[in-house]
Amino acid sequence: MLFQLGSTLLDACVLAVLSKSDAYGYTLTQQVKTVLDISESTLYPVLRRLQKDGALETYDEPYQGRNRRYYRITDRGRALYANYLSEWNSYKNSVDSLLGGESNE
Amino acid sequence: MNKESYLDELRKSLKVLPQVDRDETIEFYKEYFEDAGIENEAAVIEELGSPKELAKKILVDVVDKKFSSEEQDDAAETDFHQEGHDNKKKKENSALRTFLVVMAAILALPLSPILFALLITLFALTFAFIIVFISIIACGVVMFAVGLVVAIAALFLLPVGIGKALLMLGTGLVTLGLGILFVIGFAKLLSLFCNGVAALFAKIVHSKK
Repeated sequence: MLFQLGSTLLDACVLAVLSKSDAYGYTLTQQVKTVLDISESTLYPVLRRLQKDGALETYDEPYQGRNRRYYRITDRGRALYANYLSEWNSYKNSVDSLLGGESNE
Repeated sequence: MNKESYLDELRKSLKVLPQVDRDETIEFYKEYFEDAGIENEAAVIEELGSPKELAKKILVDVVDKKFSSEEQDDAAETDFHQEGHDNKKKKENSALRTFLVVMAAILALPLSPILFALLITLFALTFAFIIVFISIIACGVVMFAVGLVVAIAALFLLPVGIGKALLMLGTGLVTLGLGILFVIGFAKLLSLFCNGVAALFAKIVHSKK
């Protein structure tokens, strides 16, 4: 990927995936990876940070004799996501208007 | 290298982190390996990079977070560790911990020898400056004490002659005042200086990320 992905945008992407359904570390990474060129090692700190900020919570579910840690978005996380989304849209539109791409407005 | 030895090495490289955080980190990657499946073990290791590289990324992130949200982190942290009765001790502990993590992260960074030497020099200079500041503050304390004693002693000189007593009283009070000025002024300077240096280090760590 040519453009740098800032940590805020990465937060937004993780929140977006989790707003659709809960996920555990591996699937979450795989889902983000299908769209963005990031490595596993980048995602773990993001999850940690979001959890510490209260945007995510975790729960364990037994799976084949071991526990799997699932991540779930909290109300706070949803509010944060809505905020990111509207910020992103206005940012995207202004960049598009400069670059000559199509605007959503 | 297989999963076990990879995680073992990762754990070793993260020694500087608090036990809870380290366990959590290891648990995450262990789970990640398990979910990827044994047949993908080699691919996962390749993607994660060497345990040292991964540890470096995790540590740099910890440092980054510490500096970017220091105040808000402080509150969260006491919360997080289920606070304690000896809050102060805990705080000192966490300051020391931060320092260690910063050191580890700096050492883990891909530094050129010159930059490394510069950093070490900067550290030494910082240390020297702090010592000088502390000495001056100690001087201030002594001046305060001496000034106080002289001023009080001046009162006993009153019977000898009011002029002499006043002169001594004045000298004592001036010394006392200078002492207070030194202590407060240099304590303030010291804290400004420490903050500046901390910000500088954070900047270096960040730019090297």
